[in-house]
Amino acid sequence: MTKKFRSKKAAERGANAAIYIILVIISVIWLFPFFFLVIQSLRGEEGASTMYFWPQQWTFDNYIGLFTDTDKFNFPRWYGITLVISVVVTLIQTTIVLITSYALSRLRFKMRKPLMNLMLVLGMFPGFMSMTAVYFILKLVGLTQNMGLVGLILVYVASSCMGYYICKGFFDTIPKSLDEAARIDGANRQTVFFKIILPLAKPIIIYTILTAFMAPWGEYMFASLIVNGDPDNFNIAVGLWEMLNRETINEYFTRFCAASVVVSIPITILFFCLQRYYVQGVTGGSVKG
Amino acid sequence: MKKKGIISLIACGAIAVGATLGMTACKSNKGITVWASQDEQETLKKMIAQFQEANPDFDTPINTGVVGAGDAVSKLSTDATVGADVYCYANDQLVELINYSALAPIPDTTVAKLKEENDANSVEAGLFNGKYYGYPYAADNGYFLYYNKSIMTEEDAGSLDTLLAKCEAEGKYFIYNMPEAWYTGAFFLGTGENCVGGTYTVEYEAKVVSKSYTNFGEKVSGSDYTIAQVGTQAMIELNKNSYFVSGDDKTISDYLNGNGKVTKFGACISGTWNAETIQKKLGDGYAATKLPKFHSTLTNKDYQMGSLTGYKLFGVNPNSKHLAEAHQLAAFLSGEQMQELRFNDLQTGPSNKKVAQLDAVKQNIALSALVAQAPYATMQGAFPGSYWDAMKGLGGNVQGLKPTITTVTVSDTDLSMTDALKKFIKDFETGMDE
Repeated sequence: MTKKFRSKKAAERGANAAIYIILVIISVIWLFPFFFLVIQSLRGEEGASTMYFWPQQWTFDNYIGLFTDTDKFNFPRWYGITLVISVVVTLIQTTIVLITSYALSRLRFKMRKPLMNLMLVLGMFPGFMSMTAVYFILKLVGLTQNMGLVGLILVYVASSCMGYYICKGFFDTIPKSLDEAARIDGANRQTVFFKIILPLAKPIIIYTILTAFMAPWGEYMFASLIVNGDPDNFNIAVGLWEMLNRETINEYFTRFCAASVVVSIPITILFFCLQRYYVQGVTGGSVKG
Repeated sequence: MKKKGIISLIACGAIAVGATLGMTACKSNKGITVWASQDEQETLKKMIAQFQEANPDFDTPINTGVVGAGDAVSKLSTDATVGADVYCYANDQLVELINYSALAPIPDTTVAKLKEENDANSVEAGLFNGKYYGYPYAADNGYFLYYNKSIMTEEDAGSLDTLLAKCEAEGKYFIYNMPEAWYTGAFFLGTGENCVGGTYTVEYEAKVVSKSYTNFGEKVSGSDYTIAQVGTQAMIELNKNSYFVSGDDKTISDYLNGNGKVTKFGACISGTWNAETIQKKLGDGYAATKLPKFHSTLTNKDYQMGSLTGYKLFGVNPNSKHLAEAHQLAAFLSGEQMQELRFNDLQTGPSNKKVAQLDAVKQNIALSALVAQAPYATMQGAFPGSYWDAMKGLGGNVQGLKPTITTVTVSDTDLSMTDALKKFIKDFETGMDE
């Protein structure tokens, strides 16, 4: 009886090689658009597009122009506005989500189940369906146009408590006995939340912050509707769209690419700093969702 | 410790909200708003300054917003009541804007003055149901031929076949956006001298299209072939040429840049918005003229290509709280001086007769090409969707040589082709009884 056995190590190595090749191919496909954007943003020649890939002249002028040549396209202002909106939204939304999740995870009250069901059903409606209605309500209250930024923030945080699922799932994994011990020692609900739950929930706080920040950062539809053409209140997406008009695209396309790269910086930084929490947050919350 | 953290977090939020409120609250909502594209903002501000200088007792503040002539409809369709008091629009959006109650009619006395000062068609472009709705300021919303003077003469550029032969000899390309409905009409429309003679008619009844039809099914004068056949055959012939490229403004940019050193641009059909880009790349080679003639293999004759042309006008929003002032401002912004300023700053083709006669305007290469094309141009009114769909469908079919058009010989014996063209003609029609 001669039966050939491949060693386990060799088999593993073969499988790993195959997996890595697939992963490399996928990551190249994924990263290529971003790579293309970076290359285009460093192109010195004007024009909306070129037939060749590598630029003939390399330059940083597109980036410099973005921040110095602000007469026509005031990028720094749009950047600032979007940053303010995103930061404010992040703060409010994170607070709301944490509070909601805590309440739904730890407290038992009569409307708990109906409330959760209601939120589930409401969550099924796509937000943009109600866009026109929301717009007219905001207009009625006077939160469009010049007050557009406040209106926008309101729109972005409006339904944020409905994003409690993952966070509540995470809270559920923290043993209840910790709460009970603290309660026996005389802590009230608030103390339990701040002193017991929050320190244990770092990953999920980070996760909430990240998702809350990203939503308004690149948002176009509501922003365009609510500011209604007032260039002082444009956010990045609305402002950059103006660069792509048929009159300006040839001159400004490379600068548009540079702007897109700059736009991705804060999110990249956030991710790099908070990455290890992010994975914990996503997976931790799903254990008991 | 943690509690403090959260409280400071909330405090930060409150401060940020306060800051935003403060930032926005100091701007008042009162006054007149004027919309123009980002590209035009600088010029618009100059114009407003001149207006305020000329009318010292005009004390309503004037603000500007960034919405170009192309986007006005979509912004106003959501809510015309908060739209700008004065805004730019292209005349093909006229009926739509009236439907959204976003255009106020112009007083009769002003209309007389507008007619006196401006090109007749440009004023008519704002006419609907006997009332005028716009102050014309630009007559350059059309297309014509740009060509590379260093590889062909103006005479060469007058014939599509010669043009393509020159391109081939030099290894350069001719770019035309075949499946884009706006351009596809070039092979059918036009009633000027030597044109194939296609027309398209739209009739309105109380703000809605009641009827639309073409004469593309009629015979070209002095031949046995219909306008649809002659035009389509010419498109098919063009599409076979390997030095023809179908593409949009991005493709034009591609071929202008060529390999980065040598341009691959031979000629293209486009409008004034590309003038600066093409001029910059071609330098001394930059030239423009009317569209070329195409040779029909069916009738063995040459036909002049037609085009669509439109105007841009200032509209006044009837919801304006300062209606009289808005009319006054719109009239000023579209006046002779302002059109001259607009030409100097933005090379906009003027609708004002006097400005059009200025030497600088006459010497502008792109604008004079547009003027040369004018006799063969069809005025683009508010065409319904069926027009654009039919044109786009045919352009796409020819370009992709889809099953409906498999053969290059268009004749009555080729049934599938005939059917396709019958459908093509039928597609333009709305509200027609058999």
